[in-house]
Amino acid sequence: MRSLIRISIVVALVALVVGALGAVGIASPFAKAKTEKVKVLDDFYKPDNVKIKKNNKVKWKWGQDFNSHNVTLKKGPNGVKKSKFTSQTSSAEGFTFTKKFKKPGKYKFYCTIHPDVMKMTVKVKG
Amino acid sequence: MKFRFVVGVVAMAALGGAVFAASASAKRDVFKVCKHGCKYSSVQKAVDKVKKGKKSTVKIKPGTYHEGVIFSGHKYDKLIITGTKSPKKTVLNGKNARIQGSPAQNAIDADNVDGLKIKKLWAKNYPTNGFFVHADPGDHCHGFAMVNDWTSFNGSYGQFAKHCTGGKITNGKMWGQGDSGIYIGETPPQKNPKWTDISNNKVYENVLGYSGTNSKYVDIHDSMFYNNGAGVAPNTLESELFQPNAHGKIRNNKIFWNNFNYFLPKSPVQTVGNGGLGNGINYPTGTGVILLGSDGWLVKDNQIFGNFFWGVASFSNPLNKTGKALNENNRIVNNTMGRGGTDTNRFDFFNDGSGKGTCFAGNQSSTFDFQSGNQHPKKFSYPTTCPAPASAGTGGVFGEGNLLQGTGQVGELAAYVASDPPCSQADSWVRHKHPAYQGLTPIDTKNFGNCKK
Repeated sequence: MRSLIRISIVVALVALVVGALGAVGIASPFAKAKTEKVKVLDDFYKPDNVKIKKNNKVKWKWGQDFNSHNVTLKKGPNGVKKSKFTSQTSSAEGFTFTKKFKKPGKYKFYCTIHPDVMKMTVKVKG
Repeated sequence: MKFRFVVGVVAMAALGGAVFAASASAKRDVFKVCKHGCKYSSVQKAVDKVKKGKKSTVKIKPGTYHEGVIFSGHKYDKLIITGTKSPKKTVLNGKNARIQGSPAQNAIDADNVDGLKIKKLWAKNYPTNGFFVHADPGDHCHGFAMVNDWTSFNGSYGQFAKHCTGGKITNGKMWGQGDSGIYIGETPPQKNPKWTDISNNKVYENVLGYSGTNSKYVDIHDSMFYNNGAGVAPNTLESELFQPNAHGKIRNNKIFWNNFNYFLPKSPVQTVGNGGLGNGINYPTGTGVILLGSDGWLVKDNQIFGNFFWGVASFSNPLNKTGKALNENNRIVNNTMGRGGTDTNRFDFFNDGSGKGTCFAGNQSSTFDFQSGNQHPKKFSYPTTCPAPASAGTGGVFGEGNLLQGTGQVGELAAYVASDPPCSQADSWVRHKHPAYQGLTPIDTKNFGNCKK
């Protein structure tokens, strides 16, 4: 019985802290990251402009396409590695690529297979 | 005296050769891969150990490896990845293969690597490609080689090089791909071009045998393309760099029985995407060679037979907004068509009459697909002398006939490629029983179900 009371107190305290963090605009470590979805189609991304908050995710999903595509980081904030934001090349319907954006800034992506026509931007706010 | 001198020279040469061979091999780092008992149990682990500036060889012992191998950058220049026996023994299998938690899309994906060689390997069952060598815009992948490799039942392409120069794909077998067995695409224009050698391959039961979007300086020769939807199909698309596809050769090949109706419900091959070029348009099946928006291709000395629609078809793509998918300056010469009349093509040749400079000369047994509704006589679309007279061809992307009224060359082409459902293209085929050839089974004798309309 005592241990049950202790657990209840701990849970209540955690809930209070999380609530307080949210109230002052600080992302809670327990908050679930939001995920923006982007379709990869012949030969474009939809949408091609995405705005998210720091620590949120973008999930690219391949459609029923004739051509192979990839998601490749062309330019990002200083210190962000291109290789960490580059998908495999795929033509498979339903293939997905998900990335979490921890660093604010502007991320420019393109498909190296269709570089002239397949481009998109992810803007990450702090 | 003379004898001693000769012995001395021979001994020195032998010693020199041995030293040279030893030093040449010593220059390479060798990474051995096998399922048990080697330092590396996966190809990726071995590749990850390659050091910049060192020539490296990854030797893979026989076995089946469920993995996708991916690497990028000139650190890997001149890397050799090779099986140690026949490709039948050393298999990269895409089933349950994963890369960083995701399904592996390609058996080997090499980006921005010069001089990569892939040898004696079999890549099968990958959702996208078997062996995929490519470069990003502004970078390069010079002189790749895929030698004695097999690829089967990969979602898009078997052996795929894009944005590369030179290179070769030889002595391979490619079957069951959802797009093409071999693909060379987006070749950068070159002042002193390095040609890509495609030779001694057996390419069969793919949607397309060879496809090459905006490819250039490709020499396709001494290969067999059979039982595909279409055999050899260089093409121009505006979605990719370096239009048009140009300056290629298709010579000394055997191109036959390309009557694979892969749209049928029980087809063993599933087409990638919706299987077409978009807007309800599909490649013309039953065709040996398709020159789609091609400029300056030579089709010479091939044996082309038993294709139920066209032997060789050359046409522009008026839907390409840039106007660069233009059928021009193609020479179709000295081919042997229809196997002496025993295994004919429905028509040996189709030309839409667009562009300028496409000609048909010296072919053994020529039948020309010439539809009613054309403004000009047959010689306008089918000049039988090369170079073609200036009077032949419309000069533009629209050929003979009226697209809207569905008449003439363009009318027939549009109706065929837009057949709905696509499996009904086969309703236009002229079928016959093929005489035996090299012990092979014609794909049109297999039952893939009925075309549901």
